[in-house]
Amino acid sequence: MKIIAHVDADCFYVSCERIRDKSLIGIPVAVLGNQGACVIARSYEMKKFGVKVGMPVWEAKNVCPDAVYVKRDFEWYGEVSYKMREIFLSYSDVVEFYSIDESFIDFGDYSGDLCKLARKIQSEIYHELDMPVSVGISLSRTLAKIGSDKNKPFGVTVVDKSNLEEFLKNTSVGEVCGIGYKLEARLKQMHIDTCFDYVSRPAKFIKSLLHKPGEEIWYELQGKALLLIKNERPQRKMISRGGSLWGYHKDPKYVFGFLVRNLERFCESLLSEKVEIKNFVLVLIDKEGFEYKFSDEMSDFTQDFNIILNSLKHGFRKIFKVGKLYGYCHLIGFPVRSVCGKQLNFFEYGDERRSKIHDLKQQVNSHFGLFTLRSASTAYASTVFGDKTSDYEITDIKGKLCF
Amino acid sequence: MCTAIEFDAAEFGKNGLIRMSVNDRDPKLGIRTCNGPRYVLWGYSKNFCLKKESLVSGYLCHIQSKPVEIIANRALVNGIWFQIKKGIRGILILDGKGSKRVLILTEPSTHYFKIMTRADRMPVLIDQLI
Repeated sequence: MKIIAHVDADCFYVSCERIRDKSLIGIPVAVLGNQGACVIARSYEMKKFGVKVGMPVWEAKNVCPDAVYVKRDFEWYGEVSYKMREIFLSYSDVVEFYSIDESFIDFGDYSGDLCKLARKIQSEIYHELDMPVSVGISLSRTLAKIGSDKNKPFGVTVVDKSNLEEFLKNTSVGEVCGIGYKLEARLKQMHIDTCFDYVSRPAKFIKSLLHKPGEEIWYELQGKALLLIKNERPQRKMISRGGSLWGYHKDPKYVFGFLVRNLERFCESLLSEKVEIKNFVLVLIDKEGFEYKFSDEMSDFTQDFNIILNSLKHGFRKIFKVGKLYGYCHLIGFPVRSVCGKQLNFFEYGDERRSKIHDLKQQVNSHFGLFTLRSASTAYASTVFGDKTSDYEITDIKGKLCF
Repeated sequence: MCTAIEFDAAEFGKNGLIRMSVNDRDPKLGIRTCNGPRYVLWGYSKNFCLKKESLVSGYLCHIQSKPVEIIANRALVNGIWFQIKKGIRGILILDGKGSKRVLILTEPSTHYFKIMTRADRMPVLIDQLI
Protein backbone atom coordinates (compact mmCIF):
# COMPACT_ATOMS: atom_id res chain seq x y z
CA MET A 1 0.00 0.00 0.00
CA LYS A 2 1.55 3.28 -1.17
CA ILE A 3 1.96 5.99 1.48
CA ILE A 4 2.34 9.66 0.60
CA ALA A 5 2.85 12.55 3.00
CA HIS A 6 2.19 16.21 2.32
CA VAL A 7 4.08 18.63 4.54
CA ASP A 8 2.89 22.22 4.55
CA ALA A 9 4.63 24.91 6.59
CA ASP A 10 2.31 27.09 8.69
CA CYS A 11 2.37 30.74 7.57
CA PHE A 12 5.78 30.03 6.07
CA TYR A 13 7.13 33.53 5.37
CA VAL A 14 6.15 34.72 8.84
CA SER A 15 7.61 31.59 10.45
CA CYS A 16 10.88 32.18 8.55
CA GLU A 17 11.03 35.70 9.97
CA ARG A 18 10.32 34.35 13.45
CA ILE A 19 13.25 31.96 13.15
CA ARG A 20 15.65 34.90 13.11
CA ASP A 21 13.66 37.34 15.23
CA LYS A 22 12.04 35.66 18.22
CA SER A 23 10.37 38.91 19.31
CA LEU A 24 7.90 38.39 16.44
CA ILE A 25 6.52 35.23 18.05
CA GLY A 26 2.98 35.57 19.36
CA ILE A 27 2.25 38.97 17.85
CA PRO A 28 0.49 39.95 14.61
CA VAL A 29 3.07 39.96 11.81
CA ALA A 30 2.66 40.55 8.09
CA VAL A 31 5.20 40.07 5.33
CA LEU A 32 4.93 42.63 2.53
CA GLY A 33 5.45 41.93 -1.16
CA ASN A 34 7.91 43.13 -3.77
CA GLN A 35 6.77 46.75 -3.81
CA GLY A 36 5.98 47.04 -0.10
CA ALA A 37 2.31 47.69 -0.80
CA CYS A 38 0.50 44.42 -0.15
CA VAL A 39 0.42 41.73 2.50
CA ILE A 40 1.70 38.48 0.99
CA ALA A 41 1.69 36.48 4.23
CA ARG A 42 0.32 37.03 7.70
CA SER A 43 0.49 35.29 11.03
CA TYR A 44 -2.50 33.54 12.58
CA GLU A 45 -2.68 36.38 15.12
CA MET A 46 -3.21 38.81 12.27
CA LYS A 47 -5.61 36.54 10.42
CA LYS A 48 -7.98 36.87 13.40
CA PHE A 49 -8.34 40.58 12.60
CA GLY A 50 -9.54 39.73 9.11
CA VAL A 51 -6.37 40.74 7.28
CA LYS A 52 -6.20 38.85 3.99
CA VAL A 53 -3.39 38.06 1.60
CA GLY A 54 -3.27 40.79 -1.03
CA MET A 55 -4.69 43.46 1.28
CA PRO A 56 -2.89 46.82 0.91
CA VAL A 57 -0.75 47.78 3.89
CA TRP A 58 -2.68 51.03 4.47
CA GLU A 59 -5.91 49.04 4.87
CA ALA A 60 -4.28 46.39 7.06
CA LYS A 61 -2.88 49.00 9.45
CA ASN A 62 -6.39 50.30 10.13
CA VAL A 63 -7.69 46.80 10.87
CA CYS A 64 -4.70 45.77 12.97
CA PRO A 65 -2.77 48.84 14.17
CA ASP A 66 -0.30 46.93 16.34
CA ALA A 67 0.91 44.60 13.62
CA VAL A 68 4.56 44.54 12.63
CA TYR A 69 5.31 44.69 8.90
CA VAL A 70 8.35 42.92 7.53
CA LYS A 71 9.96 43.29 4.12
CA ARG A 72 10.08 40.04 2.14
CA ASP A 73 13.42 38.24 1.92
CA PHE A 74 13.02 35.42 -0.58
CA GLU A 75 16.67 34.47 -0.34
CA TRP A 76 16.22 33.63 3.35
CA TYR A 77 12.92 31.85 2.72
CA GLY A 78 14.64 29.79 0.00
CA GLU A 79 17.40 28.85 2.43
CA VAL A 80 14.90 27.64 5.04
CA SER A 81 12.96 25.79 2.35
CA TYR A 82 16.11 23.95 1.19
CA LYS A 83 16.88 22.95 4.78
CA MET A 84 13.37 21.52 5.08
CA ARG A 85 13.91 19.59 1.86
CA GLU A 86 17.15 18.11 3.20
CA ILE A 87 15.19 16.74 6.17
CA PHE A 88 12.55 15.25 3.84
CA LEU A 89 15.28 13.61 1.77
CA SER A 90 16.51 11.83 4.89
CA TYR A 91 13.12 10.05 4.98
CA SER A 92 12.75 9.16 1.31
CA ASP A 93 14.52 9.57 -2.04
CA VAL A 94 11.26 10.51 -3.71
CA VAL A 95 10.41 14.05 -2.66
CA GLU A 96 8.49 16.60 -4.70
CA PHE A 97 9.48 20.19 -3.97
CA TYR A 98 5.94 21.35 -4.79
CA SER A 99 6.31 24.95 -3.67
CA ILE A 100 8.51 26.97 -1.35
CA ASP A 101 6.57 25.77 1.69
CA GLU A 102 5.00 22.50 0.56
CA SER A 103 6.49 19.13 -0.29
CA PHE A 104 5.21 15.66 -1.04
CA ILE A 105 7.13 12.65 0.26
CA ASP A 106 6.62 9.19 -1.22
CA PHE A 107 7.22 6.50 1.41
CA GLY A 108 6.54 3.63 -0.98
CA ASP A 109 4.99 0.58 0.69
CA TYR A 110 5.29 1.74 4.28
CA SER A 111 3.75 -0.53 6.88
CA GLY A 112 4.58 1.23 10.18
CA ASP A 113 2.49 3.56 12.34
CA LEU A 114 1.52 6.50 10.11
CA CYS A 115 0.65 8.85 12.95
CA LYS A 116 4.04 8.30 14.59
CA LEU A 117 5.78 8.89 11.26
CA ALA A 118 3.91 12.16 10.68
CA ARG A 119 4.64 13.37 14.23
CA LYS A 120 8.31 12.47 13.80
CA ILE A 121 8.65 14.57 10.63
CA GLN A 122 6.78 17.43 12.28
CA SER A 123 8.86 17.45 15.46
CA GLU A 124 12.16 17.06 13.59
CA ILE A 125 11.45 20.11 11.45
CA TYR A 126 10.32 22.05 14.50
CA HIS A 127 13.40 21.15 16.56
CA GLU A 128 15.92 21.56 13.73
CA LEU A 129 14.53 24.73 12.19
CA ASP A 130 11.91 26.18 14.58
CA MET A 131 9.46 25.82 11.72
CA PRO A 132 5.89 24.71 12.52
CA VAL A 133 4.44 22.43 9.85
CA SER A 134 1.20 20.54 9.30
CA VAL A 135 1.38 17.03 7.94
CA GLY A 136 -1.15 15.02 6.00
CA ILE A 137 -0.36 11.39 5.41
CA SER A 138 -2.45 9.09 3.28
CA LEU A 139 -2.80 6.72 0.36
CA SER A 140 -2.63 9.34 -2.42
CA ARG A 141 -1.28 12.85 -2.87
CA THR A 142 -4.77 14.37 -3.15
CA LEU A 143 -5.82 12.88 0.18
CA ALA A 144 -2.51 13.83 1.82
CA LYS A 145 -2.88 17.44 0.66
CA ILE A 146 -6.44 17.73 1.96
CA GLY A 147 -5.23 16.17 5.22
CA SER A 148 -2.45 18.67 5.84
CA ASP A 149 -4.91 21.56 5.40
CA LYS A 150 -7.43 20.05 7.82
CA ASN A 151 -5.65 20.56 11.12
CA LYS A 152 -3.68 23.75 10.64
CA PRO A 153 -1.65 25.03 12.39
CA PHE A 154 0.77 22.37 13.62
CA GLY A 155 -1.63 19.53 12.93
CA VAL A 156 -1.32 15.96 11.79
CA THR A 157 -3.97 14.11 9.78
CA VAL A 158 -3.77 10.45 8.91
CA VAL A 159 -6.18 9.02 6.36
CA ASP A 160 -5.98 5.30 5.75
CA LYS A 161 -8.50 2.63 4.77
CA SER A 162 -9.97 2.52 8.27
CA ASN A 163 -11.14 6.18 8.30
CA LEU A 164 -11.30 6.96 4.58
CA GLU A 165 -15.10 6.90 4.25
CA GLU A 166 -15.65 9.07 7.31
CA PHE A 167 -12.94 11.49 6.09
CA LEU A 168 -14.58 11.81 2.66
CA LYS A 169 -17.98 12.45 4.26
CA ASN A 170 -16.50 15.26 6.37
CA THR A 171 -14.64 16.91 3.52
CA SER A 172 -16.26 19.42 1.19
CA VAL A 173 -15.40 19.12 -2.52
CA GLY A 174 -14.08 22.66 -2.33
CA GLU A 175 -11.21 21.42 -0.17
CA VAL A 176 -9.81 19.34 -3.02
CA CYS A 177 -6.79 20.83 -4.77
CA GLY A 178 -7.94 21.53 -8.33
CA ILE A 179 -11.56 22.32 -7.48
CA GLY A 180 -12.00 26.07 -7.32
CA TYR A 181 -14.93 28.20 -6.19
CA LYS A 182 -16.73 28.11 -9.53
CA LEU A 183 -16.37 24.37 -9.97
CA GLU A 184 -17.40 23.81 -6.37
CA ALA A 185 -20.58 25.81 -6.95
CA ARG A 186 -21.29 23.80 -10.11
CA LEU A 187 -20.82 20.50 -8.29
CA LYS A 188 -23.03 21.63 -5.43
CA GLN A 189 -25.81 22.39 -7.88
CA MET A 190 -25.63 18.69 -8.76
CA HIS A 191 -25.82 17.78 -5.06
CA ILE A 192 -22.13 16.86 -4.94
CA ASP A 193 -21.27 18.56 -1.66
CA THR A 194 -18.74 16.27 -0.07
CA CYS A 195 -15.88 14.17 -1.40
CA PHE A 196 -18.01 11.14 -0.55
CA ASP A 197 -20.74 12.41 -2.89
CA TYR A 198 -18.03 12.90 -5.52
CA VAL A 199 -16.70 9.35 -5.38
CA SER A 200 -20.23 7.92 -5.13
CA ARG A 201 -20.92 9.10 -8.68
CA PRO A 202 -19.76 6.82 -11.51
CA ALA A 203 -16.29 7.56 -12.92
CA LYS A 204 -17.81 8.01 -16.40
CA PHE A 205 -20.13 10.74 -15.12
CA ILE A 206 -17.23 12.60 -13.44
CA LYS A 207 -15.11 12.26 -16.57
CA SER A 208 -17.85 13.64 -18.79
CA LEU A 209 -18.21 16.56 -16.40
CA LEU A 210 -14.63 17.38 -15.44
CA HIS A 211 -12.59 15.46 -18.02
CA LYS A 212 -9.37 13.62 -17.19
CA PRO A 213 -8.24 15.73 -14.20
CA GLY A 214 -11.64 15.18 -12.57
CA GLU A 215 -11.40 11.45 -13.16
CA GLU A 216 -7.90 11.39 -11.64
CA ILE A 217 -9.26 13.10 -8.52
CA TRP A 218 -12.05 10.49 -8.41
CA TYR A 219 -9.47 7.69 -8.16
CA GLU A 220 -7.14 9.61 -5.86
CA LEU A 221 -9.96 10.30 -3.38
CA GLN A 222 -10.51 6.57 -3.11
CA GLY A 223 -6.89 6.07 -2.11
CA LYS A 224 -5.71 4.89 -5.53
CA ALA A 225 -2.50 6.85 -6.15
CA LEU A 226 -2.55 7.94 -9.80
CA LEU A 227 -0.66 11.21 -9.59
CA LEU A 228 3.02 10.54 -9.25
CA ILE A 229 5.43 12.37 -6.96
CA LYS A 230 7.78 14.23 -9.30
CA ASN A 231 11.37 14.36 -8.14
CA GLU A 232 12.46 16.93 -10.69
CA ARG A 233 10.88 20.01 -12.09
CA PRO A 234 9.76 19.66 -15.73
CA GLN A 235 11.38 22.16 -18.08
CA ARG A 236 9.79 25.59 -18.15
CA LYS A 237 7.43 26.38 -20.99
CA MET A 238 8.10 30.09 -20.86
CA ILE A 239 10.28 32.70 -19.17
CA SER A 240 8.94 36.08 -18.19
CA ARG A 241 10.03 39.21 -16.41
CA GLY A 242 8.39 42.55 -15.85
CA GLY A 243 6.05 44.24 -13.43
CA SER A 244 5.47 47.79 -12.32
CA LEU A 245 7.18 50.75 -14.01
CA TRP A 246 7.20 52.48 -10.60
CA GLY A 247 4.26 54.73 -11.25
CA TYR A 248 2.67 55.85 -14.52
CA HIS A 249 4.93 57.30 -17.17
CA LYS A 250 4.56 58.74 -20.66
CA ASP A 251 8.20 59.59 -21.33
CA PRO A 252 9.29 57.10 -24.02
CA LYS A 253 12.91 57.21 -22.87
CA TYR A 254 11.96 56.33 -19.30
CA VAL A 255 9.63 53.51 -20.37
CA PHE A 256 12.22 52.13 -22.79
CA GLY A 257 14.92 52.35 -20.11
CA PHE A 258 12.72 50.36 -17.77
CA LEU A 259 12.05 47.76 -20.48
CA VAL A 260 15.77 47.32 -21.06
CA ARG A 261 16.28 46.87 -17.33
CA ASN A 262 13.71 44.09 -17.42
CA LEU A 263 15.37 42.64 -20.51
CA GLU A 264 18.61 42.44 -18.54
CA ARG A 265 16.75 40.52 -15.83
CA PHE A 266 15.11 38.38 -18.53
CA CYS A 267 18.43 37.46 -20.19
CA GLU A 268 19.99 36.80 -16.78
CA SER A 269 17.29 34.20 -16.13
CA LEU A 270 17.86 32.63 -19.58
CA LEU A 271 21.55 32.28 -18.75
CA SER A 272 21.05 30.95 -15.22
CA GLU A 273 18.43 28.44 -16.39
CA LYS A 274 20.63 27.53 -19.41
CA VAL A 275 17.77 27.95 -21.84
CA GLU A 276 16.95 29.94 -24.97
CA ILE A 277 13.76 31.19 -26.59
CA LYS A 278 12.28 31.45 -30.09
CA ASN A 279 9.38 33.88 -29.65
CA PHE A 280 9.53 37.14 -27.81
CA VAL A 281 6.46 39.01 -26.57
CA LEU A 282 6.39 42.54 -25.23
CA VAL A 283 3.33 43.81 -23.33
CA LEU A 284 2.75 47.36 -22.12
CA ILE A 285 -0.24 48.15 -19.90
CA ASP A 286 -1.58 51.67 -19.65
CA LYS A 287 -3.28 53.45 -16.76
CA GLU A 288 -6.74 52.39 -17.96
CA GLY A 289 -5.64 48.75 -17.96
CA PHE A 290 -5.42 48.35 -21.75
CA GLU A 291 -2.77 45.97 -22.99
CA TYR A 292 -0.54 46.75 -25.98
CA LYS A 293 1.11 43.62 -27.26
CA PHE A 294 3.92 42.90 -29.71
CA SER A 295 4.96 39.42 -30.70
CA ASP A 296 8.08 38.48 -32.65
CA GLU A 297 9.28 35.13 -33.90
CA MET A 298 13.05 35.17 -34.19
CA SER A 299 14.90 33.29 -36.94
CA ASP A 300 16.43 30.85 -34.44
CA PHE A 301 16.40 30.04 -30.73
CA THR A 302 18.56 32.49 -28.81
CA GLN A 303 19.59 33.77 -25.40
CA ASP A 304 21.63 36.62 -26.91
CA PHE A 305 20.85 39.96 -25.25
CA ASN A 306 21.47 41.99 -28.42
CA ILE A 307 19.21 39.90 -30.62
CA ILE A 308 16.36 40.10 -28.14
CA LEU A 309 17.10 43.81 -27.64
CA ASN A 310 16.54 44.38 -31.38
CA SER A 311 13.20 42.65 -31.09
CA LEU A 312 12.33 44.75 -28.03
CA LYS A 313 13.25 47.99 -29.85
CA HIS A 314 11.14 47.01 -32.83
CA GLY A 315 8.20 46.11 -30.60
CA PHE A 316 8.50 49.28 -28.56
CA ARG A 317 8.38 51.45 -31.69
CA LYS A 318 5.26 49.62 -32.81
CA ILE A 319 3.20 49.64 -29.63
CA PHE A 320 4.27 52.77 -27.75
CA LYS A 321 1.68 55.53 -28.16
CA VAL A 322 2.79 59.10 -27.45
CA GLY A 323 0.82 60.74 -24.63
CA LYS A 324 -0.37 57.48 -23.02
CA LEU A 325 0.53 56.76 -19.41
CA TYR A 326 2.04 53.31 -18.94
CA GLY A 327 2.27 51.53 -15.60
CA TYR A 328 3.23 47.91 -16.20
CA CYS A 329 5.24 45.82 -18.64
CA HIS A 330 5.80 42.15 -19.34
CA LEU A 331 8.55 40.46 -21.34
CA ILE A 332 7.74 36.87 -22.24
CA GLY A 333 9.80 34.29 -24.08
CA PHE A 334 8.53 30.96 -25.42
CA PRO A 335 8.94 28.13 -26.30
CA VAL A 336 11.91 27.45 -24.06
CA ARG A 337 14.70 25.09 -25.13
CA SER A 338 17.74 23.92 -23.21
CA VAL A 339 21.12 25.04 -24.54
CA CYS A 340 22.74 21.82 -23.33
CA GLY A 341 23.47 19.50 -26.26
CA LYS A 342 22.42 22.17 -28.72
CA GLN A 343 23.13 21.52 -32.39
CA LEU A 344 25.62 23.98 -33.93
CA ASN A 345 24.36 26.45 -36.51
CA PHE A 346 25.99 26.81 -39.99
CA PHE A 347 24.82 30.37 -40.28
CA GLU A 348 26.06 33.43 -38.49
CA TYR A 349 23.55 34.69 -36.02
CA GLY A 350 24.04 37.77 -33.88
CA ASP A 351 27.03 40.05 -33.63
CA GLU A 352 30.14 38.35 -32.26
CA ARG A 353 31.71 41.59 -31.03
CA ARG A 354 28.58 42.64 -29.18
CA SER A 355 28.25 39.16 -27.73
CA LYS A 356 31.77 39.40 -26.33
CA ILE A 357 30.94 42.71 -24.67
CA HIS A 358 27.80 41.16 -23.23
CA ASP A 359 29.78 38.16 -21.93
CA LEU A 360 32.16 40.54 -20.19
CA LYS A 361 29.20 42.37 -18.67
CA GLN A 362 27.87 39.07 -17.35
CA GLN A 363 31.23 38.22 -15.79
CA VAL A 364 31.49 41.58 -14.03
CA ASN A 365 27.88 41.44 -12.85
CA SER A 366 28.20 37.90 -11.55
CA HIS A 367 30.92 39.21 -9.23
CA PHE A 368 29.60 42.62 -8.30
CA GLY A 369 25.82 42.42 -8.68
CA LEU A 370 23.28 42.28 -11.49
CA PHE A 371 23.16 45.96 -12.46
CA THR A 372 26.82 46.95 -11.87
CA LEU A 373 27.42 47.15 -15.63
CA ARG A 374 24.25 47.84 -17.53
CA SER A 375 23.02 48.90 -20.92
CA ALA A 376 23.28 52.68 -21.54
CA SER A 377 19.56 52.76 -22.47
CA THR A 378 18.70 52.06 -18.84
CA ALA A 379 20.18 55.44 -17.85
CA TYR A 380 16.80 57.05 -18.59
CA ALA A 381 15.22 54.94 -15.83
CA SER A 382 17.59 56.48 -13.31
CA THR A 383 14.98 56.58 -10.52
CA VAL A 384 15.07 52.84 -10.10
CA PHE A 385 18.86 52.58 -10.21
CA GLY A 386 19.23 55.46 -7.76
CA ASP A 387 17.28 53.46 -5.18
CA LYS A 388 19.59 51.28 -3.16
CA THR A 389 16.92 48.65 -2.49
CA SER A 390 16.58 47.73 -6.14
CA ASP A 391 20.14 46.99 -7.18
CA TYR A 392 19.64 43.26 -7.02
CA GLU A 393 17.31 40.71 -8.58
CA ILE A 394 14.38 39.42 -6.57
CA THR A 395 15.29 35.79 -6.27
CA ASP A 396 13.06 32.96 -7.26
CA ILE A 397 13.35 29.60 -5.56
CA LYS A 398 14.94 27.27 -8.04
CA GLY A 399 13.73 23.72 -8.43
CA LYS A 400 10.24 24.11 -7.03
CA LEU A 401 7.33 22.93 -9.17
CA CYS A 402 4.98 25.83 -8.60
CA PHE A 403 4.99 28.93 -6.45
CA MET B 1 8.52 61.00 10.97
CA CYS B 2 9.36 58.20 13.35
CA THR B 3 6.96 58.62 16.26
CA ALA B 4 7.58 55.55 18.42
CA ILE B 5 10.32 53.05 19.06
CA GLU B 6 10.09 49.62 20.63
CA PHE B 7 13.16 47.89 21.98
CA ASP B 8 14.10 44.77 23.85
CA ALA B 9 14.88 45.42 27.52
CA ALA B 10 17.33 42.49 27.44
CA GLU B 11 20.20 44.88 26.67
CA PHE B 12 19.42 46.52 30.04
CA GLY B 13 19.25 43.15 31.79
CA LYS B 14 15.44 43.13 31.98
CA ASN B 15 12.66 41.20 30.27
CA GLY B 16 10.11 42.35 27.74
CA LEU B 17 9.80 45.10 25.19
CA ILE B 18 9.79 48.79 26.02
CA ARG B 19 7.77 51.18 23.88
CA MET B 20 8.60 54.88 23.75
CA SER B 21 6.48 57.40 21.91
CA VAL B 22 7.01 61.07 21.11
CA ASN B 23 3.67 61.63 22.88
CA ASP B 24 5.04 60.28 26.19
CA ARG B 25 6.21 62.73 28.81
CA ASP B 26 10.03 62.91 28.59
CA PRO B 27 10.48 59.92 26.27
CA LYS B 28 13.80 58.15 26.55
CA LEU B 29 15.64 55.92 24.11
CA GLY B 30 18.31 53.34 24.79
CA ILE B 31 21.68 54.01 23.18
CA ARG B 32 24.79 51.86 23.01
CA THR B 33 27.91 53.42 24.54
CA CYS B 34 31.37 52.07 25.34
CA ASN B 35 30.22 51.74 28.94
CA GLY B 36 27.14 49.73 28.02
CA PRO B 37 23.58 50.76 27.20
CA ARG B 38 22.20 54.04 28.55
CA TYR B 39 18.84 55.79 28.54
CA VAL B 40 18.88 59.27 27.06
CA LEU B 41 16.06 61.79 26.62
CA TRP B 42 14.60 61.64 23.11
CA GLY B 43 14.16 64.89 21.23
CA TYR B 44 15.17 68.49 21.57
CA SER B 45 12.81 71.49 21.38
CA LYS B 46 10.00 69.43 19.76
CA ASN B 47 12.37 67.84 17.21
CA PHE B 48 12.77 64.09 17.44
CA CYS B 49 14.59 63.49 14.17
CA LEU B 50 17.39 65.19 12.28
CA LYS B 51 18.06 65.06 8.56
CA LYS B 52 21.35 63.37 7.74
CA GLU B 53 21.92 65.95 5.00
CA SER B 54 21.72 68.86 7.45
CA LEU B 55 24.27 67.13 9.66
CA VAL B 56 26.61 66.79 6.70
CA SER B 57 26.12 70.45 5.81
CA GLY B 58 27.32 71.50 9.28
CA TYR B 59 23.99 72.23 10.97
CA LEU B 60 25.27 71.12 14.38
CA CYS B 61 28.81 72.48 14.11
CA HIS B 62 28.17 75.05 16.85
CA ILE B 63 27.11 72.51 19.50
CA GLN B 64 28.72 69.45 20.94
CA SER B 65 27.40 66.31 19.26
CA LYS B 66 28.41 62.74 18.56
CA PRO B 67 26.98 59.85 16.55
CA VAL B 68 25.37 57.02 18.51
CA GLU B 69 23.53 53.76 17.91
CA ILE B 70 19.95 53.71 19.13
CA ILE B 71 18.68 50.39 20.40
CA ALA B 72 15.51 49.51 18.48
CA ASN B 73 13.61 46.39 17.45
CA ARG B 74 10.71 48.17 15.81
CA ALA B 75 9.78 51.69 14.82
CA LEU B 76 6.50 53.41 13.97
CA VAL B 77 6.22 55.63 10.91
CA ASN B 78 2.80 56.86 9.70
CA GLY B 79 1.03 54.14 11.67
CA ILE B 80 3.18 51.30 10.30
CA TRP B 81 5.34 49.32 12.70
CA PHE B 82 8.34 47.89 10.90
CA GLN B 83 11.09 45.58 11.99
CA ILE B 84 14.58 46.85 12.82
CA LYS B 85 17.42 44.36 12.85
CA LYS B 86 20.39 46.05 14.53
CA GLY B 87 19.35 49.56 15.46
CA ILE B 88 19.08 53.13 14.23
CA ARG B 89 21.74 55.75 13.78
CA GLY B 90 21.27 58.76 16.02
CA ILE B 91 23.02 61.87 17.17
CA LEU B 92 23.70 62.74 20.79
CA ILE B 93 23.68 66.43 21.68
CA LEU B 94 23.92 68.53 24.82
CA ASP B 95 21.03 70.90 25.43
CA GLY B 96 21.33 74.38 26.95
CA LYS B 97 21.20 72.91 30.47
CA GLY B 98 23.97 70.41 29.74
CA SER B 99 21.77 67.30 29.67
CA LYS B 100 22.18 64.71 26.92
CA ARG B 101 19.53 64.29 24.26
CA VAL B 102 19.28 61.95 21.33
CA LEU B 103 17.81 62.58 17.88
CA ILE B 104 17.08 59.98 15.22
CA LEU B 105 18.94 60.53 11.95
CA THR B 106 16.79 60.36 8.84
CA GLU B 107 17.44 60.05 5.11
CA PRO B 108 15.20 60.10 2.01
CA SER B 109 12.97 57.02 1.88
CA THR B 110 13.76 54.18 -0.46
CA HIS B 111 11.05 53.30 -2.98
CA TYR B 112 10.00 50.29 -0.88
CA PHE B 113 9.82 52.23 2.38
CA LYS B 114 7.91 55.08 0.72
CA ILE B 115 5.23 52.71 -0.58
CA MET B 116 5.07 50.85 2.72
CA THR B 117 4.70 53.90 4.96
CA ARG B 118 3.93 56.74 2.54
CA ALA B 119 6.67 58.72 4.29
CA ASP B 120 9.25 60.75 2.40
CA ARG B 121 11.94 60.13 5.01
CA MET B 122 13.08 57.08 6.89
CA PRO B 123 15.39 56.48 9.84
CA VAL B 124 18.99 55.64 8.99
CA LEU B 125 19.12 51.92 9.80
CA ILE B 126 22.26 50.04 10.77
CA ASP B 127 23.23 47.38 8.18
CA GLN B 128 19.65 47.09 6.97
CA LEU B 129 17.84 48.03 3.77
CA ILE B 130 14.10 48.41 3.59
